[in-house]
Amino acid sequence: MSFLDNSGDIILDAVLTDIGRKRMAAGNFTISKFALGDDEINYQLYNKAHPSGSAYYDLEIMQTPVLEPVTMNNAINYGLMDITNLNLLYMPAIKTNPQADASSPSGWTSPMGTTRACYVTGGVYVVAANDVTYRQLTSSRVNSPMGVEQYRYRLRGDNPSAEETNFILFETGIDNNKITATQGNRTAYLDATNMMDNSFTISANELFIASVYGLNSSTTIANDMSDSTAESMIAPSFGYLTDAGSGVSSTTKANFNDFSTTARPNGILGTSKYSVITGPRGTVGGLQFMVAAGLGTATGTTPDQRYYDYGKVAQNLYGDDHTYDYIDTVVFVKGDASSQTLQLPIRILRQNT
Amino acid sequence: MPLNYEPLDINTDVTTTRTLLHEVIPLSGTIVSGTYSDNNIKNYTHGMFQSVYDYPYLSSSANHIFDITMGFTAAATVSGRGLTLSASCAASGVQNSKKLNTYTQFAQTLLGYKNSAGNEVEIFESDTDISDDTNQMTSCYFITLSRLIMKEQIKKGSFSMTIGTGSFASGLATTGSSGTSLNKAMAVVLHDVSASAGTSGEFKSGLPGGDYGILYVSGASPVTASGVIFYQAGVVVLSSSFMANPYNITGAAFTGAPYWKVGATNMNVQSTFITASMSGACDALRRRIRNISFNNTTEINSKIYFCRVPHNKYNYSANPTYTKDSKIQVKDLASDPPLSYITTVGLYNSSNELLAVAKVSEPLKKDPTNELTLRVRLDY
Repeated sequence: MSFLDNSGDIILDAVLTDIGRKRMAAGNFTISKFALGDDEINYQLYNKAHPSGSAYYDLEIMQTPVLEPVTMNNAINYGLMDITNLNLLYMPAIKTNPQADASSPSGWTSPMGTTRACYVTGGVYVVAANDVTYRQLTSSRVNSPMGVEQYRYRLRGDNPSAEETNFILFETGIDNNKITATQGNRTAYLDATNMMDNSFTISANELFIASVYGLNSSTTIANDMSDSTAESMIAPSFGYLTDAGSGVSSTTKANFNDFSTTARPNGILGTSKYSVITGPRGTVGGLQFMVAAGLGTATGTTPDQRYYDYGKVAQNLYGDDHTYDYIDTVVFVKGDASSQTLQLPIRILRQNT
Repeated sequence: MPLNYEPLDINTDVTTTRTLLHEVIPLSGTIVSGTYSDNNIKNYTHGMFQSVYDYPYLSSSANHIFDITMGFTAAATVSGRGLTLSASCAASGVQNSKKLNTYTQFAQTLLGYKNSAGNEVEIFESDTDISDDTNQMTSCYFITLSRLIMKEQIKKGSFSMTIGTGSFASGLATTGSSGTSLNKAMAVVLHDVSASAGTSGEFKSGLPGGDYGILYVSGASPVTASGVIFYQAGVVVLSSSFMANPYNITGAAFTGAPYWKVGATNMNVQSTFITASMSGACDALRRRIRNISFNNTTEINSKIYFCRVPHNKYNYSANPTYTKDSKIQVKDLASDPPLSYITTVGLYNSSNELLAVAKVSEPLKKDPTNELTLRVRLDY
């Protein structure tokens, strides 16, 4: 995959994808629509302070070299949007909660109280491939910074809806502190602009993840504004996750399956010490993953071939006299209304010895 | 993952075209014999034809360019003898049945059958009426061009072949160099220039082998037809008769050395067809080829999709860099026009499967003030 020659006229270089050739061979190659993409573009290069004026704002963007088309079916990961409202200034963000290793874990408790929002550690969310691995990570206080809140740093991939398991919590909304987090702004900036993500499409690699679990329909989340000094996040129905089924083949990513999950209204208003969205909040979602069959074979047995092909085997990760096998993958969370995307780095971990 | 799709109207946004592309294919005689000391010539144990490559054929870089073989029909006669060519070959030659079979194979494949019972194979003729049994070519060389170089077909009117009619050992005189023509038989140019596409009557259509044109000797007077060329099949059929005597377009008598040689033996072309092995006869022709040139034809059927991007759509992006702190990077005020930059067009079926991808060579700026029509052509 090289760059296209951009020294002369604009040319359009087209190729059939793998599935396009397959459909052609089968005699059902029928194109009925198109979509537009801009994956190479870095909009942060748009320089509104360019000294030469507005004609030069996008100079660097226009000089972006474009790569040749490839035959994989992930040519457009994000895409241009057919929004006809020309007056949008804000678009919602999707952020995990908590987002990263807490700088002071001892002073930072989970926003979910007794429920279990998972922390990221070492840049990844750790999904234990079997129960032995899950228990080992918990009991030996490995895999967590400073040895505290150790049970917050792992997901249970063999039984995602088990009562004690954690899940990844994410929020949507206008993440800008210049827009006050009021119900009115929520309506104005999200509902009225059709940017409220009430459902999400989760794309996960089918080689490693068999199914996805989301929040069940009775889950609620809101803060109690009656006492601003004692803010709490109220989620009476947490602890129960719903299996999103086996998914369907992704149209944009090879070997990925798409799962559909619904989100819950985010009822946190005003200043919040728990919410990661600084402006009007939109919705809340939770995720857990069932690892693919074969990845969770019993500790002490030969690892699945996928650990050799896609990951690492028998690694001393935590200095706990045990070795581990792991595979790193990425799960994509896309809001169905806003088309905004969140990437979740996932490590599927299996205790080897 | 969901994308925003724009429908394509099959009636207004899609069209089909057919384009013929031609490439000039020059085959130098030094490739055919000389440069690679015949290491690019592949002979087979069955001995029925030989293959010519553009590089020593044991190399993975070698490309097959054409085959040469020869043959005659059972009725082919020998001047000055009471026996037919076949009978002479059976009596004093080699590979008689293979030479007969080869001719028959080409004739039945390219010409078909002629009698009412439908089992008598037609005879090649150097005219466009194969039913009149005149100008028959009963002993022929066959040059079959590889599809690698001829593609779908040879362009009518583009074929030419320069070939020596005399001794390889004595050298080949060029057409018009009359000063040396008395002891060096002429290298003649065979061409089909009168068979340019669209000139009906100068090529024959409707045969099993497709269209064929006549190969004339360039500049000869009277006009001399010495072979035919099948354009779609990529087969050149050369009559042996035009090499029966050293060719001299000046009409002067030939006084040179023996003009046809197989191995160390001097013989004329008839003797070659009788006594030489097929591979030896192919060598004899191959070493007289000075060059072959033609235009090949690649037929491209295209479907063009006109992807019309409306002015009021696709001005926003889901690209993660499009916003910072949820604010659109390319706007300061809500009233500022949104911008996006197109680099990719994805073509999808109704099941949202990505069937084809097109990339533009530089980003296309899209804002509400312009509409774009991206013309995506898929070639088959």
